[in-house]
Amino acid sequence: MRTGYTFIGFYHYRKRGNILANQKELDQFLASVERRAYRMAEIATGSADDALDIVQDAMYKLVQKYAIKSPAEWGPLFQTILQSRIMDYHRRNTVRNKYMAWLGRKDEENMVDPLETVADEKAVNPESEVDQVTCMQVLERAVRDLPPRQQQAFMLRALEGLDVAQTASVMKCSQGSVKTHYFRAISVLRERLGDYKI
Amino acid sequence: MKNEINSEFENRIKQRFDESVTTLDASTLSRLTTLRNQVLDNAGESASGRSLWVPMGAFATICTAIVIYSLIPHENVENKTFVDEIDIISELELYENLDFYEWLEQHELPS
Repeated sequence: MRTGYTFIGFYHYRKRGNILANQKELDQFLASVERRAYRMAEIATGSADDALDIVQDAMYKLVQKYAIKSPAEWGPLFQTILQSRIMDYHRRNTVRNKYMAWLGRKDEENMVDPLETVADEKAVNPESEVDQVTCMQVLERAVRDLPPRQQQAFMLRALEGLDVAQTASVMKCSQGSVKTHYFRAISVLRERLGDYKI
Repeated sequence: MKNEINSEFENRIKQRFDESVTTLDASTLSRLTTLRNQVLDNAGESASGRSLWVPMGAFATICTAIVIYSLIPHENVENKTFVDEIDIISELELYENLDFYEWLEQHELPS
């Protein structure tokens, strides 16, 4: 304990000790939530790389700031951090789109290469798999098109299975607001996905 | 966690989502595992870092600046009285008429 004689040294020694002591539990916890977190971020952003960045940020923040909390608290905390990161992404994207619109340029990152849209005739795609993938893609696009708060309420309630109180806690708003956002999200999705066999 | 989702539509959406989670490709799973390991490794190292040193250093610098400032003698201009100011002005007049006083001393009339 090189810096153990100072308050700061003691603080860091204790914090590091907590992280190391909880490392196995943290590893298990993160392994249990990472896939769902990744899918939620991917649906929200539409980008695998952005989703991985968001999940990494959320994991890092949880480990850095809340490793000393009891494992029972990690779930809600992780959800709060993850949703906060997704909202940050939406904000940055909005600002960037406004900036691009002001400059009169098209967003080159989101431009689709025409070659990518050409069907691969040699590819083997079982019919059922196609149906499933297409259905999920349509669903994802519909969720992605929702306003950020509705999207957040929908993902937490419908996909993550949180109740109204837990969702309100993560979204930092009232339970009434959660109900409103969720109801609107479900209504829009019903309308858009009506013709698909979800 | 209590699941309050009741409608068939919502259940089917959740089912689709759960399927997509369980069928994630190997490449993505591998990247997620790598990320997790990186986070845990880095967190253990950086926790012994410097997060509290920065505010403590800033606090120490401010304290040092205050002590040094209080130790430097400061001339208090506001406390000068009217008489002090008159003295200063009269001294200035003396220096301005120095030649005259020298001449007066040399040519002083005998009393």
